[in-house]
Amino acid sequence: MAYAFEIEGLTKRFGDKTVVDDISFTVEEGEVFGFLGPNGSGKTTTIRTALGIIHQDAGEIRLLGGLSSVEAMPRVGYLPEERGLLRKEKVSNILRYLGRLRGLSKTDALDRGLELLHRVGLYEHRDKKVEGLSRGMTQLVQFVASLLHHPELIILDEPFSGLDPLNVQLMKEILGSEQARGATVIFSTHVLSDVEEMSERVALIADSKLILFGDLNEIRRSRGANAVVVEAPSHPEDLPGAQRHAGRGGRVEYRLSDDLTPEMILNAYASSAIILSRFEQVLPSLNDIFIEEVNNARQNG
Amino acid sequence: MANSRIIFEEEFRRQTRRTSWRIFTIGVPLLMLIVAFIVPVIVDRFSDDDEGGKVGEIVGIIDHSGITDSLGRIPGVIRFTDLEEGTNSIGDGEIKGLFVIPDDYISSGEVDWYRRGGGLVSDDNTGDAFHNVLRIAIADDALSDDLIARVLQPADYTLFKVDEFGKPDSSSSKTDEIARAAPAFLFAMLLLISIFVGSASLLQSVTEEKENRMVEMLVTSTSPMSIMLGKILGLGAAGLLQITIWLAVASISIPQIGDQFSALKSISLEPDLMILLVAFYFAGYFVFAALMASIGAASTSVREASQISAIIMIPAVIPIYTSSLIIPNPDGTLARVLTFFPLTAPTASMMRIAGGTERMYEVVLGLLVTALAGVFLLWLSARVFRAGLLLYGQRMSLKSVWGALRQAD
Repeated sequence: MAYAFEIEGLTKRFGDKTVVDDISFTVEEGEVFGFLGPNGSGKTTTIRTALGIIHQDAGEIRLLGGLSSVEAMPRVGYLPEERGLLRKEKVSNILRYLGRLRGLSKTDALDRGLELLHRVGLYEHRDKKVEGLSRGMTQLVQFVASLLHHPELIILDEPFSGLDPLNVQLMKEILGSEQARGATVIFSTHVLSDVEEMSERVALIADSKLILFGDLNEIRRSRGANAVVVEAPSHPEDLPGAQRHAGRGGRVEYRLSDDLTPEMILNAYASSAIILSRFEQVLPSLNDIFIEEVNNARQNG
Repeated sequence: MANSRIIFEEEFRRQTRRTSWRIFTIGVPLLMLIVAFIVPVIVDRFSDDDEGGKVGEIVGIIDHSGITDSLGRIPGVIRFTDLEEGTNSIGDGEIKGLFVIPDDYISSGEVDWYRRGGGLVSDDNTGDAFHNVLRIAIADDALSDDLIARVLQPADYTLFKVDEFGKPDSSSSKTDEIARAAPAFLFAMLLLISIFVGSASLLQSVTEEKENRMVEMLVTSTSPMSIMLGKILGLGAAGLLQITIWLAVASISIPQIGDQFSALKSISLEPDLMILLVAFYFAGYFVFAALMASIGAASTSVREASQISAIIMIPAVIPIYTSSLIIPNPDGTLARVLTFFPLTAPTASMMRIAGGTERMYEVVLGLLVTALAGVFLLWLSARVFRAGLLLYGQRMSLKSVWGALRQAD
């Protein structure tokens, strides 16, 4: 199978410090892929290295079915984490300039830029200088710039940070339509809900190492249930080893362990003759997995 | 490299639309006009009591020897008989100086010169002017007018250059020398101006590019080499346009300069020398621009960069500063050494051309060295620029630049 993005054993050192440590994962064509990690874990360096902005010390990079970064670059759209545009320049001029550098003609670059500005609601601001825009607007303009040349692979480094919820939603919609067009989208984030909402597959890195990679639902299922939620008019007090979190409306969540299985909980309610209105095993949230895995990695490291 | 053209166009457009560029482009000719028209008026107004300093000003004379008697009335010379009367006239500002010729002047040659205290005697050319009065007076009795003219202007030289085989050049005159030297100096000055003006905007542009954080978008669209090449050429073209405007305004508005240009028109420099001068202008600009770009790429602030760049520009000035040594001896050791160092080669070679070097192959070799250095420095600037990406936000020490240079390939 041809992958849109493939890194294998990618390693980058700055001096004595290993910033990207033997990271491998693949992204399939046409998917929206979440690249997760806490701040400073090496996400940006991984992306920069994969795009050839920085050279790797070891490892292989294959983009768009086997191309090198340089070969693939004309078909890649990239939103860097370092945000900024020429402050004294008009928005439309910048888009025309960047579009031309991506191989579009002057008129095509401008037309496409204006079309995208329309879409993000910044058409009115096309003749404004960048210094007159808000931070969120600048970010949208830069986002637009990465889509000018209809890229097949779109790589966004923390695209939603600093945006208001409306603009985040707008950006997600546009990315959705880019995916529908056939583009592959990879975005890095430390916000878990974005990943849960947009991606089926994820890679999680912490402290420069890859600690999880795969289908989100499979990952969650493979961990098994780690809690049981019970709704009932009352709750038995004498359940041994129970960690209870009382919620609203008579809801209690029990954290499972070797000493506390779902059967034991069910039996306890039955022997107290309490009628249950709800009894449900809960898969771990991405949040739980994230915290657990990162902590594990830090303890082991 | 196709992207270099886009970057070139963009840089040119952006630079020529800058307010600072426009003010500078218009401001310099304005300044020239002020210097040309207003300053002379002011100087005139404040110096009307100081008519002196020019040949033909009024001086006094007391002639005890009688040697000037045969001349009768001498224009610009007032005769006195009394010393006190004469010195009073100096005090009144009526005359610039008073010369007293004693009885025994012919045997002793001694003349007393009374003058106001201000200013240096060496700057006061009434003494030299009076020499001529005396020469005419001495010669007047014995010589014809033609001979007097020869005494005053003994020779008008025609130069013949002898080559290393002892063969005299068919004809080389003073006008040939001017024909050679004037364009060489003109190009040397143009180069200096271009470097001074261009380097500031290059430094600013490169450091800005690092600060505006578009670099990552740029380097994923094109190579650092294209960025640097486009920048150097784009800003260079903007600078050339600026200088062209200045020269045009200057030649139209300042008659003296206009005269110089019409004089230049009559100078026909051999085309191959002209091509060399033009080639050195561009190669020289390129070397300095690429070097400035490298410095800009390695610096964290414009201020820091301009301090270093000021030092870098000194080599370009050295050959012009030492032109009085190079031009009379265009194939001397100093001239030859400076020809092979890329930063001095452009102006040094121009000075050698002005001096009429016999080793033209060295000048051509110097051009080659300069051009190669330019290409190398372009490559270096691209590498430093790229290395700057790795060091974003860090202060660039020589060590960190070197480390990043080795990483950024």
